[in-house]
This record gives sequence, C-alpha cells and structure tokens, in this order.
Amino acid sequence: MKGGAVRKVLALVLISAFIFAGCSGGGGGYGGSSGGSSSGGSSGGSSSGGTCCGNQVPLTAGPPNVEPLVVDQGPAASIAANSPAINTAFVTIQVCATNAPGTCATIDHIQVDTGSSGLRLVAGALSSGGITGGPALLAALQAKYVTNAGNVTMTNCVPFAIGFSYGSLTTTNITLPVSTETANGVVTQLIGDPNYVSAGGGNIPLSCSNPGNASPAPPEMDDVVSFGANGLLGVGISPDDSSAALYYACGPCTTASNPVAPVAGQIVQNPVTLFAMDNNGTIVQLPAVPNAGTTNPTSPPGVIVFGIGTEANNKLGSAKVLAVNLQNPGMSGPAITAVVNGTTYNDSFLDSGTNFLGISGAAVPGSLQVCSSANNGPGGPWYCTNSGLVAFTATAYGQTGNPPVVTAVSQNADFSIGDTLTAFTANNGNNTAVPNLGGQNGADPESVDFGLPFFYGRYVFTAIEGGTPVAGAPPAPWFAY
Amino acid sequence: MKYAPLAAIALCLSATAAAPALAALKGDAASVEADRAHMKGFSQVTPGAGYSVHEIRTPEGMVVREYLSAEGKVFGLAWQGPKRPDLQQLLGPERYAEFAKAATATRQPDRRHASVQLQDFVVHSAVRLGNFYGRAWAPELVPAGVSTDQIK
Repeated sequence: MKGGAVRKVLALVLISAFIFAGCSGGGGGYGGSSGGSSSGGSSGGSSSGGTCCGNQVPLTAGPPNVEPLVVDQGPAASIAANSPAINTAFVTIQVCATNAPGTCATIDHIQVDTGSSGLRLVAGALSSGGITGGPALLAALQAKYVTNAGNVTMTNCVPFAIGFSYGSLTTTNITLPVSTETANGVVTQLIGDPNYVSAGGGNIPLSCSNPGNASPAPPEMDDVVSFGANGLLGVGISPDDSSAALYYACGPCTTASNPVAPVAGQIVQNPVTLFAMDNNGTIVQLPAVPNAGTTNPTSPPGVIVFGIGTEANNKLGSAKVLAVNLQNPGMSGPAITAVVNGTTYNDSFLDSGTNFLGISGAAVPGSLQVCSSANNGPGGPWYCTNSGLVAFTATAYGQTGNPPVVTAVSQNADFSIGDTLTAFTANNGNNTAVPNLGGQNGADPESVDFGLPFFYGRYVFTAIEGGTPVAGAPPAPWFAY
Repeated sequence: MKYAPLAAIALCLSATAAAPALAALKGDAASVEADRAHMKGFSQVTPGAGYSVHEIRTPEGMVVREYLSAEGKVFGLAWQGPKRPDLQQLLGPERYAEFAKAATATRQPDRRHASVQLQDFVVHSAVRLGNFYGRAWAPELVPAGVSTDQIK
C-alpha cells in the first residue's frame, strides 16, 4: 500500500545520493562546532575478531551532566531468577519523597530507555529488593499519590507487545548522584504498588490488563523479574507519556474501570525536561565492545550525558542530525529512513530500549536464518548463521512529511549481525554486551530498529520534542550520531 | 498503513450481524466479517493479483488488514493503531493460547517485541510510543509468489 511513497522516497534517496556524491563522510550535516566529542564516525563491524561499531569513547562521568551507566546482568532479582539482562543500559538514581525530603533511597538498575518517556519505579524493588531505605521510601511515596480533583488516586498503565505494567502515580524528587542533575516534583509511576494491584487494594482494569478478555491473560509485568529492571528512566523524544500510556482516576480501580484523559500535574513527564539547564535531550555514550561480546564493559564505562548544546561537553560535534518524522505513516510511528543493502526502510528509529538490531525484509541475506526449533526452541525473533558476522551496508537519513521524504543529511549506519546462539552461550553465557545481536523486526518489514547494540562506540543524541533548540539543528525531535 | 490503497477500492459498509467468532487467520471471508463486527469497524476490500486485502478500520483508529488468497483463506494479518488489537479474536482462541504460551516460554528480546514462529503460523507483535503494530501469517497458506513482506 505504500509502494508509491516508497518509490518516491527511494528516488529522492538516489537523487540526494547523486547530489551529495562529492561529499565525504556520508552526507552534508548540521555539524556544529566540535565540542567535547572529537572522534566521530563508525568503522564498520564486519570482521569476526576485533571491536564492533563506532570508535567514540564515552566521556568521564561527573558534574554537571554526565552520569555513569552499566550494561550488566541487571538487578539481583533478575540474576537470581536466571533471567539476566542483555544489551540493557542501567543507571542509578537517588529518589526522595517530596513530602519527606530526608526520606531517600539510591536505586540501582533503572533502565535507560530512549524509546519511551517517564520515570517508573517497581514497588517490589523498594519493598524487598535489598535497597537501603527502600521500604521507608515506598511508604512515603504511598502517602503522596497524584490525585484528581476529587482526591482519587491516579493510576497509569503501559501496555507492551504482549503484557503490561500497571501502578499508582506518585511524585518524587530525583538526583542523578554523579552528575548531580536534579528534578523535583516528578510524576512517577509506582509499578505494582500493592495498594492498588492486590486483591485487598483494588483490581487492575481489564482495559489495561486484558482488553480482549483473552485466555491466557497477557502477562502482568509488575515485579522486578518480569519488568527486567528496578525501574525505568524514559528519556525518549516525547516530553511525556500521554500518547503511550493509559490513565485512570479510580484508585482503587475495578476490572471495569475505564481510562480518563489526564490533565497537567497528573501526566508522567520525561524527567529530563525538568532539569534546570540540561533539559532538551540526552546523549547515550556506550563504549565499543568486542565482537565476541563481553560482560559489563567498564573500560571506560558508558555514560548518559544530559542536555544537547547546553554545556561545553554536549555539543553535536561530528554528529549528523537525523530529523524524526512525526507524520511518518508507517506502522512503527515517528521515524527516520534507513537504506540497507539498497532497500529503503522508511519506519526506522534508534532505541536504547530495544536490546537487539531488528530488521526483516529484502535486505536480509539468506545467510541469516531465524533460529529454528532445532537450535533455539519455537520462538523469538533471533537470527542464527554459520557465516560468522553478516555485514549490512546502511545509511541513515532524516525524514519529513507524509508521504515521507528524506532529508539531505545522512550518516553511515553500517552494522553486522552474528549468530545469536553463539552470543548467548559464549563467555560461559555471561555476555551482557553483544554488539551483533540481531533478529527479525517482523512486526514491521519496513523498519530497522537500531537497538542498543548500535549504540556501542557511538554518541547517540535524542532530542526531545519542544526542547530548547540546538544551534544548527532543526526543531526536535531528532536523533543524531 | 494509513494510506488508502492505490488500486480500485470496493467499499462495503456491511451491517451484517456478527457471525460466529471464527478465527480470521486461516479463516474465510466470513471470519473477516466476524472480526469487523467484533471491532465495530467498517471494512473495504481491495482486489489484487493472487489475493485480496480486507481492511478493517475502527473509529478509534485501529487498522487491521486481512489478506485472503484466491482460495478464500486468510493467509496473513497486519495491524496498527493506538491499542493492542484483540489477538484472541484475530488469531483464534487456540492459536492465541499457543502464541501466548510460546511468547512467554521463549527468550524474547524486550518488552516492546514478541515474536513466535510456530508449526503452522507466525506472529510478530510490537509497540512503540503508544503505537501498536504487528503481523501474523500462516506460511503454508501464503500463495506462491507472494512475499510475506507484502503483509503490512
């Protein structure tokens, strides 16, 4: 149904490729003055030894805006449950109660997600996660719910591909302890808050948990193991989660409760927008890692840098700005364009909350096969291969309009996908950072999901819609690297 | 997914009472009508070479496309919209249960993706920024010469 549009975009791609054929480095750009980021570009990743992806080195964490990340096996509960994380970036946050400023807890393993917006904490991590001060903080947060005009507690539901997370809304004051970035009055989802999900405290609305009354019911992902983290720091392109979450004003709800439209003060905001200065976006900087994978790369560790163009250390430098098209008509929503092995993927995006490189469609060579029941059970999107690393030649473009057209700005986006079973079993099964982990993006064959593996060795900028403009860049949202 | 098909469109604003809740995947045109009624949507049919596309749209912005082979069998589905569609309706209760069991039993990437390849059908479900999308197909029913990439 999009054939005409795709052909049109491809034609423009070819035209722009012709126009910019004389330029080096993959296209013209909004490259600002070179600031803290001096190295640039990517170096491919098709050799089976060596190091994957880009060669940019993360900054050193510290004030005023650089916070360390880990890419490890995740929270203790996930490890204990034999459900370790892979290609997942975590940050540690100090969370305080707004009603009792001395009541704080430092919470590890909050997932950093550039594909969603909002702060979410798993109540069970506070009550029984071994976090110092966790139970006291939970009690204080439960005394400070977000309520509607009728003093009814607001709750929030985030549906996922099959399951969901549900919980009350509360307010927090947060500090990123190393950078010292702070935000106060952060509307925060308290996932699995026992006051509102237990039989005694009220039921989860079916419109959240199981709208179709399906059997078996979609999984509830309200504890640390099922959620995969102690919480989530959503730092995506949206200033809030109002288009992605369901809100209720019925705590305690019943199974029949219906969603409501939240108003200002009730909405889960992108916490970055609440920082005093560095509030228009982020840069996720992960180290390059070996093609063979590794466990929690720490030399140097990854970081998240807050703000874009707001400090000496967060300028665009050599990064190319790729406009995100909010009018993109494709299945995946707001997107950039990727041309991979000659095929145009108009629904593409970068997302630290995706832990693999997702691609289906014509660009995928026969040397990559979906891992079959013979080697990996009956499911999952994972690719298997006996061809070592399978290289993809790719270019990313900004995108605007409907039908979509690509911008003149482009950037090399080469990547490689290797054998998933090898990735999962190598290093005694302890790999947590695998740069070539890939699988089908089968839900949308016109999309490349540049997940977290793409971030290794790159500075990946995510500019928040409506944020302070960055010199030389178009209005946000955009990605840059 | 939001474009009107370029080919000739036969608009059928059907008001038929809901047929038995047959599964759409591997079902027939009657099962498509059952899905339409279940979704309280309206449908339009785009005839094509080798297959036809039955598109169901709902007032709340859900779009489901069902691909019928010349033999009249639904060999593929695609969906997009602000809600996760009723996969139990679209896949059929037994296949839905099989999908849900496999999706939780196998190692999936992350919360935003669920993919399973089963003996006789494939499901890919995803969500991003409040936009739910996905595809399902029955490989043995996909007509010769038709790529599953055309199901979208």
